[in-house]
Amino acid sequence: MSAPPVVPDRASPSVPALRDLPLRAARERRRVPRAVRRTLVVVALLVLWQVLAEIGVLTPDTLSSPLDTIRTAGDMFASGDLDTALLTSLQRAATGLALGVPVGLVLALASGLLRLGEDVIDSPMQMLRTLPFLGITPLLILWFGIGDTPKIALVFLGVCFPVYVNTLVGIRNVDARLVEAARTFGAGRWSVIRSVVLPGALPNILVGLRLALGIAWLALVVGEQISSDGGIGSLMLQAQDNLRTDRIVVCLVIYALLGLISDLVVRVLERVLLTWRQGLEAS
Amino acid sequence: MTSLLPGTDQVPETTSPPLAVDARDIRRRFGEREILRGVDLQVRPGEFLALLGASGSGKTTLLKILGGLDREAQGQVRVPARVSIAFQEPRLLPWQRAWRNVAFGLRGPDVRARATEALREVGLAHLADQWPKTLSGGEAQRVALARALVRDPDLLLLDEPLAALDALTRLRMQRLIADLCARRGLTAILVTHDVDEAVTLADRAVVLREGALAHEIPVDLARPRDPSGPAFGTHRDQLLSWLGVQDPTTDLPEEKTP
Repeated sequence: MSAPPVVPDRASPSVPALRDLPLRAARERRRVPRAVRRTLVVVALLVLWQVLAEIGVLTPDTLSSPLDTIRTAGDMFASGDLDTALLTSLQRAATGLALGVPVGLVLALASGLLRLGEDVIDSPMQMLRTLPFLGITPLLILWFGIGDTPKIALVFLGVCFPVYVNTLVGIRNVDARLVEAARTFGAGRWSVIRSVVLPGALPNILVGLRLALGIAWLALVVGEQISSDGGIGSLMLQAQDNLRTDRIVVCLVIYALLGLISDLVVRVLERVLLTWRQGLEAS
Repeated sequence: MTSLLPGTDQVPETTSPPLAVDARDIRRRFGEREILRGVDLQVRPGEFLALLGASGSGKTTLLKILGGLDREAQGQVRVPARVSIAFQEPRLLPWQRAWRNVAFGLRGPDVRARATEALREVGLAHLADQWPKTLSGGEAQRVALARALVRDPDLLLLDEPLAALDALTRLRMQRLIADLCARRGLTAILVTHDVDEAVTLADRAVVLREGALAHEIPVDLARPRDPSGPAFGTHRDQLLSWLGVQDPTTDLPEEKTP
């Protein structure tokens, strides 16, 4: 070959100046636990609200005080107004969800797994998705009049799209290498869908479900304020007519609680269905 | 072929020896680039073949074709009915516990027992109920190996299954694979970058270059093999020189995009 390898002499190293890295000794100072801190903020805001009402900055016409609101809530429960309205709203939301979630799921599966399905379903869905669904309310009233149907339809529309979009994203994001491996080990089309695609898409499906639950209540708020025919929304509408801010605030709190509870439901679902993801965190 | 006595029915010369893999004139192009330009590959039953080559030389492409994962290739490929693959990544289903990953696609009443037995073979019976996420890289790769073995393959394809492991784990895995193949009399094709690994495991090593099998060397060393022995060194040097790594002063070959 050519000339023998030339090994260069080692250059003499430069001597760097050393500096101290400031290391903080472990903190001994006792801290307020974060959960307590967070709770304290909420309590402080409520107290501020009450004080503003007591000194007359917030009149009952503007916003009722927290204590008044609690009192009113008690009255509304006692009279049965709230139970009836709550039951009506829950039924409407449940019906809309029970229709919208499966439809969104099935459409996403058809669109994500079949080329024909994608061609037929995806572009109309993407077009409709850009439409603010609450804007359809006047049409729904013309079609279905008042009563339960337009409200349920509104929930259905609001729920269908987040489930569809997220499920589709989940299916698209399934690791192609896992699908390839599954095929290697003798999985047929159906088996690949059942054991690889669906479980792989499940985290996204649950995200869709969580959004759907939030939107269901939003759709109901709007839907039920159309007309006075039951539900928390119409209760608020009546309260507005009678200048009862206390009753409005009660209804708002109820909506907030409903949203919180539905979020909790999805969280529990995630914990149960996605245990495999928590493998590391548990240990 | 029971009668080998002279004078009795002699085996006609035309009868070819039995083969576990018989691939002829395999061609595969991706767009403009022809990755495989007529590969001929025969593997005898029970043989362990190492397939070497620079990155982008088409090793993995060839293995995928043999594994039935790439049907766009041209040529003739004959492989056994039961082919298992161990990939570079473990490719375990994260939502299935280890034994269920091993048992994937198996049918029958004793699936759990078979999966556990396969896990025992790779030394992981105690991790049968773990989620893949809790396994180390080496453990996950052993589970993947158990998944490949549990279906009793007539041909085991190994696509750089040890490349992503740390050096110590890789050595242990090499020993494990050598043991398993010897015990089960497996036919295996190992794609690897690692010349030492090839010489440690293989009965024969072939080098893929410019789309065809360019070189071939039988590795008839006694097992277990000692990487510090002279014969081992000869094989290693031969393979390295075919791969274009002769001595430290040689420029590195230009990296081709895969």
